[in-house]
Amino acid sequence: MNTNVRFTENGIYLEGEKEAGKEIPLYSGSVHYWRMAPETWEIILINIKKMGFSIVETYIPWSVHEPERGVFDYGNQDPRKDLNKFLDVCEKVGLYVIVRPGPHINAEMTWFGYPEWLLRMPEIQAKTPFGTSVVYPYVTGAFPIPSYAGSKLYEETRIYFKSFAEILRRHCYPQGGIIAIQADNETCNFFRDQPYIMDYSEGSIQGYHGYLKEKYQEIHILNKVYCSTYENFEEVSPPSGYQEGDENLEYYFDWLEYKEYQILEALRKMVGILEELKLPIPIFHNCAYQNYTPISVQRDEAIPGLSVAGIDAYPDPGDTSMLKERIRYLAGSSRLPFVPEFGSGSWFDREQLLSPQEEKFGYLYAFMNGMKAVNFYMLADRDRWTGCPLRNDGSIRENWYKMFCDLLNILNKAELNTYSRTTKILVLKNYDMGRLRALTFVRNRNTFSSNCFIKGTDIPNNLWKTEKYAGKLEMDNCSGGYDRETWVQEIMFALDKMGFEYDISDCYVTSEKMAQYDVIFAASYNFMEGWIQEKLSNFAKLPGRKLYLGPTVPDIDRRGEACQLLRKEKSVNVISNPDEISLDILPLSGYKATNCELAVYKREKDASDLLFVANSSDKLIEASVEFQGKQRFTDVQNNTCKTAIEHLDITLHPFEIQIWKVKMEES
Amino acid sequence: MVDKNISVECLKPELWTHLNEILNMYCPPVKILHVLRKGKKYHAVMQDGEPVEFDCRYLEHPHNLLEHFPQLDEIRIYTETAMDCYDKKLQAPEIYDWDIDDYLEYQYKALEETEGIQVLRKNNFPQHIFQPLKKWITKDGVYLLWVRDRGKLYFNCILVVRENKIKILTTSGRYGDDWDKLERVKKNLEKEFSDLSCHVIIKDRNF
Repeated sequence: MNTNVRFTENGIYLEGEKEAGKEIPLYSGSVHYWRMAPETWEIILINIKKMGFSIVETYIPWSVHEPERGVFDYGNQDPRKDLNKFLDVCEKVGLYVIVRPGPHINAEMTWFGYPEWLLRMPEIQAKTPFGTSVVYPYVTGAFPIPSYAGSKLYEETRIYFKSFAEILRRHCYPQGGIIAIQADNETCNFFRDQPYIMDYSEGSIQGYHGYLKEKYQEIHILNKVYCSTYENFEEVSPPSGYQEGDENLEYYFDWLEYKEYQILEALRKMVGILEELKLPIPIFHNCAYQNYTPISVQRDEAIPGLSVAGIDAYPDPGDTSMLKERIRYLAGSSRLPFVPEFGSGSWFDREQLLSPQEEKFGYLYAFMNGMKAVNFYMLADRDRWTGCPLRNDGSIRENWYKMFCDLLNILNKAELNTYSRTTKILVLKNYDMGRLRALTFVRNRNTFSSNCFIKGTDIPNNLWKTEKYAGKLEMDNCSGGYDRETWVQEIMFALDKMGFEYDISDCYVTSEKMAQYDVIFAASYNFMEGWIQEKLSNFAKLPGRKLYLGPTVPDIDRRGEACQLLRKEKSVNVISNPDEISLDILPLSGYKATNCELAVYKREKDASDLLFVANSSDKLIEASVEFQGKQRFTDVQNNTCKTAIEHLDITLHPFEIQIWKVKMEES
Repeated sequence: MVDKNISVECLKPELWTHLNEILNMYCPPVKILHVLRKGKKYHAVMQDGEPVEFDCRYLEHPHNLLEHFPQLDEIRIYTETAMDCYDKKLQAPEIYDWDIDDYLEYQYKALEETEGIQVLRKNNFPQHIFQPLKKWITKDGVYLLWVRDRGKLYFNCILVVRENKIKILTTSGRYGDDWDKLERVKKNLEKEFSDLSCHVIIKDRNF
């Protein structure tokens, strides 16, 4: 059967043998069938459709369907587990479906959705540097974190996936509603993203040796780089912390890059297992929150068979800075800026829930900053989650329900997904600086807290930061996480102040993506690897492009060897002080805002623009937008129209975002 | 204390959004200074990671640090070796059979009992929420916490305990329009959980 289902830059394209192709926006919402009485499935799904959704999403948890090894239940014992029937009901109601079979689920499930019998297997467990398992202290019981390195996890996963393959196959588009499937979930060592917590299991160390062999080929080459005297690769023990005063950093960089490789390999294997099921639907992945080591969206998307990698988002009330950075990072890095889990309601052990207004602000702010596709997690209350537009019995929770109805109405009416972001500026973070900041800890300790009920005996990671860093590589001491860089923060601040939009990425951005921008600001220190310098240099040579480095121009690579490609490139500019950025060098969007944030989107087919204007303060403000000529403005949310010449005055309430469709009027 | 398969249901979001405030009332956040001894030297940070400096000589008489930093509730002094030992204890295989409250209790006890770690506390605030909870929940039953703000319902929480384990965590949201009427909620609980005794605590906000 010729079926064509694929992600596009606007959503999902569906084409069946007997159906003409169509592109639909990817706006979906989550339900958990096994946590709802089967007699409520239909009313819940009908109410989801009434909100304006055409797609729902669900996990398919392993621990639910194979609670005992070899004993599967797909409704033969417990009707809530009747996955086939649930998919039938989705199709009856007229909803497409995205499925997420894990094996990593979370969903506030005990053991995170893995069967207990699996994680109890010693050969599955990841290891700390001192040989114990790595604990995840969840409120319903601590459990050992599995290793990505051994083969056992994938062998068992394959068996589990085969158990539901036929059900999914029957329900894949076009004969059924399933249109996409997710590989694993937030694959990132269960949030233990610091380098020295795990994984020191036998399988992981073997993988590490293999990785070193692949990289160095001969042990004498490694010895030259490490200034060591190993006789073979198997003698190399991975670091369990930075040795204070050690100048040889490549040893630590290699361990970090191996951990990144391990995660990519895990994902590659999960994609491979899904591909074996021969389902005619695209595969995607969701990163938890990281855009720094050991995760990167761009390298996820380079895995054959993985179409799109998104990043999940659970903003706090009124948050703008996390959302702006994360979404713009997706816009600058991913094929489709997709948030596979955007908080709707919350887990039960979170300090605070968001009101409908607070949630709506976050959603619109994310669209404003480049989000194109979203799955709202969740749309119906379930065990250990509340605050959704639907309660667990399918009844409507008025204020939240109305908010979603309004939101979907806006998104669908404005055809938001058909507009394109117009920014021509890209800010590149320095991924190696993130690695350097991460590796310079004398140890990392596991976290023994998880959420608000479990406040364990955690020690701030900064206590373990080395006080004797001796490397030749310049260090950025910006406070905060590994992705924080002083120069990058200053550049973004300067651009925000001048009202210029920008996307964000790092060295793993593709050259094709880079070429879409006119101006790139790239964080660079005294060191930068040759392949990155070459990539930037090639961009600088493109006609009409401008490259700005800062705070300095690199002269060496990570190993301290001379590397001056960029220094020799005449078209490269340096900005030591981001306050010096001149307006002359920046591309204009045709609109200028005063006293508010502004984002401009364009659509070619009808030469219309879409303006987002935002007030992210708690005060009423009077703002204005300047432009040239005479334009007709239509407020997408309440349908009011006005014609304005050269400027539009707007009143914005606290935490309000307005969306205006704009068309040029003949004078 | 917490059943591995605890059901958490019918949380009314308008009430549950005050959870952190209520937890802080029973288990106030404490200010802790973390000190890593490195021979005669040290490295010290507060809970938020901000570095702190003081005269090295305090390490010989660390109790005096509590006077030097009057805002602190607790000081913990570690060595790297001691922390390795501590981390090993906390990730031993037997802990996976424990309830989480037992695991938390063990974390704090082991901290004080590991050689090379010193814990100096100024007061006896609870270390984790299950400590005050265990004082309230002493037998099977239904436990209702009702918190008012100027007479109006601000937060509530219902715990159903059977076989010494919390089986259900819920709110009065399970009783529809009766959710904010104390007497109606009590009657509903007595009816729904007729085999269990009902225990009610009524508190005013900022108790």
